[in-house]
Formats: sequence, structure tokens, C-alpha cells
Amino acid sequence: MTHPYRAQPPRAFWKSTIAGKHPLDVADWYVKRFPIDGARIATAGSCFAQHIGRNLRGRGFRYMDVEPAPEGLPQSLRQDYGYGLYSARYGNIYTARQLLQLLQRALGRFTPVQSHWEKDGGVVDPFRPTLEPEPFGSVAEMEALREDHLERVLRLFRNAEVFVFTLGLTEQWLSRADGAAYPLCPGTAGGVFDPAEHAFHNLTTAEVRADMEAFLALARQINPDIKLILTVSPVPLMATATAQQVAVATAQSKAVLRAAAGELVQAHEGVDYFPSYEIITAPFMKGYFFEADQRAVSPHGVKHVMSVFFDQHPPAKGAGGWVPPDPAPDAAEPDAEPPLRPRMAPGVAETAEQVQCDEELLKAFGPDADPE
Amino acid sequence: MRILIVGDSHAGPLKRGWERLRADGGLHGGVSITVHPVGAAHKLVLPFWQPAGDHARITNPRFRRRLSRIPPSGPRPDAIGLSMPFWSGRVVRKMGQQDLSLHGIGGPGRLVSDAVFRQMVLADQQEILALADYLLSLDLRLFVVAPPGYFRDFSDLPRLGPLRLLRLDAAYRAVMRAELAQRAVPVVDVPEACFDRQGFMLSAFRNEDPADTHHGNSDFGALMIGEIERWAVARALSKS
Repeated sequence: MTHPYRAQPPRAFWKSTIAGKHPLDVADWYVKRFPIDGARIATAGSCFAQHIGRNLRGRGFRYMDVEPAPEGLPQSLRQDYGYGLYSARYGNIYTARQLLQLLQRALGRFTPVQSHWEKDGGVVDPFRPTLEPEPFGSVAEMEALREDHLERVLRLFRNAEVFVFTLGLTEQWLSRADGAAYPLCPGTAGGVFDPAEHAFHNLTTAEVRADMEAFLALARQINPDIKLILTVSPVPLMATATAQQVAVATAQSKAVLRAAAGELVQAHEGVDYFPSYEIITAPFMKGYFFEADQRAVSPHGVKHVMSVFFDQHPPAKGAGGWVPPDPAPDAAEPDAEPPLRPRMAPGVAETAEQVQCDEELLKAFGPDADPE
Repeated sequence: MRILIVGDSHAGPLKRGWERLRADGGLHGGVSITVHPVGAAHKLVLPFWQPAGDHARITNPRFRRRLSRIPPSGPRPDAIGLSMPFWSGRVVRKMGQQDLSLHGIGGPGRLVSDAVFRQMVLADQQEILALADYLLSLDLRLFVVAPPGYFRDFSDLPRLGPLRLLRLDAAYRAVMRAELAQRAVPVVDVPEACFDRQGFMLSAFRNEDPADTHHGNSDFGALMIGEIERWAVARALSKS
């Protein structure tokens, strides 16, 4: 007698895949839906997404960074100033609502009423309030930087071929005026919490699905072939604003995100799901990859997750490395942007100036004139 | 009053200006100035000195050919003028090469925040500020001699455009001025009369070498030596 399970591979069966296996020996977590080698890849999401971006970059994928750190800013300060964390300096994007609104803002289709939060004598951007260690000196500076940032975010979505998004949270603080979704509760990293202006909302599965559907539709308006890889962050909530205990709230939040991600994969050919959440949190993994606080994922855990990902997405031989900040758009695109202005080869003027410095010193002080 | 001036290649025109004044009998009698080079500006971002008791020992082998310690052995100077802290060329060039800008300038360029720019300046001046701190800790009196502003044929002007070049230079100097003020280190500035209405240095002060687009000439050096002398005399008067 035959039935559909007979045709299923071993990974479909608990007994052959999980039972009796050491957690690290559990295999076949993920089968890719589409290849990503050679594609321009962008990342965003909650903090776990940083690991994905860093590993994609480190393994020679065509990782996009439309706002790279300025040369001259010390390496040790770059992450503090929001560089190199994701493909643009948008900071953590915890929710589907934030992601949707980011693209809407980049397209000029949404301008939140609350433009800035005051903090320590300066101002911060409510939509990336911890971008830099110090607040900006003026609203004008913050707004100019945000406008510049959103222009580059738009280029990112126009040019990315694969967008990796890590869903982090469902709990969300919104503006009562226009529904603007903040990454952090007003008052925690700037601004003043006002219950008349700010409202808590815990997104439902239907809302996460709808936000992601809206995001995908909007993204495909400007980039029809963009593909999406979804992950769910395995990092539990730091705190909940609900009446639930934090672990219970975490379970709801992650379940909602996981369910929405599953629905999106079922609905769209160009959407894949990578199970970083399951690899870290599955009961048979016994919390092995959590640090002592039972929240942070250990470097071993990150390494293990990424090894599963790269088993399916091995970097192609000779794959392109660093993606320049502004990849030239396809000329066939109707809304293609003008090509970048050619840049002077660095070093020519610099070398000439260094020679002039040496000559000036020679002219004034002679070749080996030690004054002592 | 004994004044020692040490610096990057912008010390060259100061030395040549001083020599000309000396030959012409134009030096102020009450102020004794000596000018020594440390080294070319692009090498000043790397470690080039280390503490050595009562002086800073120059460690860069090439720099040491001309100056092995600050202050040199012998009588202690009454003040040491540094001509290194205001040269913005290294950072300005990096900004141009990466097409970066600051808010308020307008025009092309990806914006970096004022705070990021400040960190770039502090990184650029890290070794020099550390040297200043060390010399101050030895109870040596310091001041800063401003280098010339930018000339209209500065090599990176086409890439940056005049407004961005001048504004970045002003922003760089503002960061350094604030750092120096915190340390109570005064600045001997280039007189306003040396600049045109837009803010570029007058070509009368441009280096004698047509290929050199960023150093001053001996006229500039002589003018700045005069400024230093005036500052020193005023300081001596105010002390008395």
C-alpha cells in the first residue's frame, strides 16, 4: 500500500532526523528554495540579523552596504556609529510594520508627524534613536541625515536581488496620530512617553502577514524580481509591555512571527524561510546555544546557524566580494537612476601632495639637517 | 623670549620667512624664534614619538634625521608652537575621495554626521594631540600656528567644489579649536586679510613652486613669523 509519506525524504521523519541524535548532529535543517550566489544581497531586521550580514560579507557574497563607514572613522567606532551592522544605517528593524514604513518613507509615501525626539540637549531620529552614541546637534542635521539615508535605502531596495529580513518582535509602539511605528518605546532612548500620543500594539499573525505582503508588493513595484529570505530571531524579548510573563509573551511573539513567515513562504515562490529560530530554540537543542542569561545567543550558536545556512548557500568560486555602495542600476529599468559620477582615482593627488611636502621640507631645512 | 616652532611641511615657509626677515633685519629683537620640522603631514597619523622623561623622543627614523626630540636639548623654550594641528588636508581628501559631505553644505555627497566627522578629525590628530598633552604635562607652554587656508588651485578642489572644501576645512578647524581650547592652548591664526571674499587664500601667498598647490610661500612665512612675534610680545606684556 502506498501513501504520500512513502515518498518523503528521511528529513521528514522525526525518528530518523531527531530521535537519539546529539543536538549538534541534527542535520537537514534547511533546503534552499533559490540560490543566492552572485546575487546582490541586503539584510535588515532585529539584532540577530547582524550575524547574517556579517557572515555574508565575510564569505565573499555580494553583500550590499549603501552606507559604508567613512574611511578615516576608526574601526573600533564604526559599529557604535551604526556602520557595518546592516546594509544601510537603519538600525534594528524589529517588526514587519517598521519595515513596511521604512520603504514607504523612502518612497515618500509616508511622512510621520513626529519627526524627532529630544535627548540630552540634542535630538535623535525616532526611527533609529540609537544610531549614534550622541544625539544630533540640531533638528536640521538629523533631518538632513535622515533624508540622505532614505535616498540610499531606496537605492538599496531598487538594486537588491535578495533581501534577508529577520523578524524580531510583534510588540510595537505606535504614534496615535498616524500609526508611525517606533523601534523603541518613546522615552527609553529619547523623546517623552505620552499615553495621549503613543500607543502599545501587539501585532497579530494577520497583521504581520499583511504588513509583509504590503512590503513585498511595494518592493516589487520598484524591483520586480527581488527575492526575500525570512528568518525569525531566536532572541527572546528583553521585556514585554503586555500583562503576560516575559517568557509567555516571547512565545506568543515568536509563534506569530513564525506562523506569518510560513504563510508568506507558502504564498510566494520568491520567499524562502531559514530556520535560525528553530536551530537555536528547538526543545531538543536544550538551550545549548544560549548564554547564561538564557537570552543572548552564544558565538557557537551563531556559528552553527550560519554553517547550516552556508551548507545550502556555499559561496561560488570567484564570487564577487564587496558590493560597491551604489551598484549601477540596470539600464533597462524604466526608473533607472543616472550612473554615478566618475570618481578620480584616489592616490594621484595624494601622492603628488606628499612629494610636495617632502620638497618643501627639503627646501627649508635641507636633506639631513639634524638641529642637535 | 625663546620660541620653538615644530611642525609638518607647513613649517617650511615659516622657516624660509624667518630666514628672510633675519637677512632683512626684520626680526623682533625681543623674541628669539627657531623653526624645526617634525615630518611630512601624511606620516603624522602614525605613531612618531614616545615619552622620554623631560622630552618627547621622535621615533620615526626619517623624522629623526632632522629632529630627534621635542624640545631639543639645551635651554627650555618659553613656548612651543605646533604647526601640525590645523592641517585638514588628510581628512578633507578622504571626504572627497569617498564623496562625503556634512549637512548644511548642500550639493552632492553622502552625509556623515558632525559627530562622525569629529571622530574622523580626532583620529587624524590622535598622535599630535597626544604629543600636545604630553608636552603640556611637562609644563611646557604651547600654542598652535595655523597653516595657510586653501588656495584656489588646490588639487582636490575640482573633486570637492569650493563650498564643500572650505566648509570641511572650517569644520575641521572648529573641532581642533575646541580641543585646543579645552587644553588652554592658544592659536595664532592666519590674518583675515590673507583670504579673498570667498575664503580662499590670496594667490600672493601661494608657494613658489607652481606644482605645489597647498603650501604657502616665504611671504606667508614671514607674515606668520610677524604674527607669532606680536602674539609673543602681547603675551609677555600681559604676563608682566
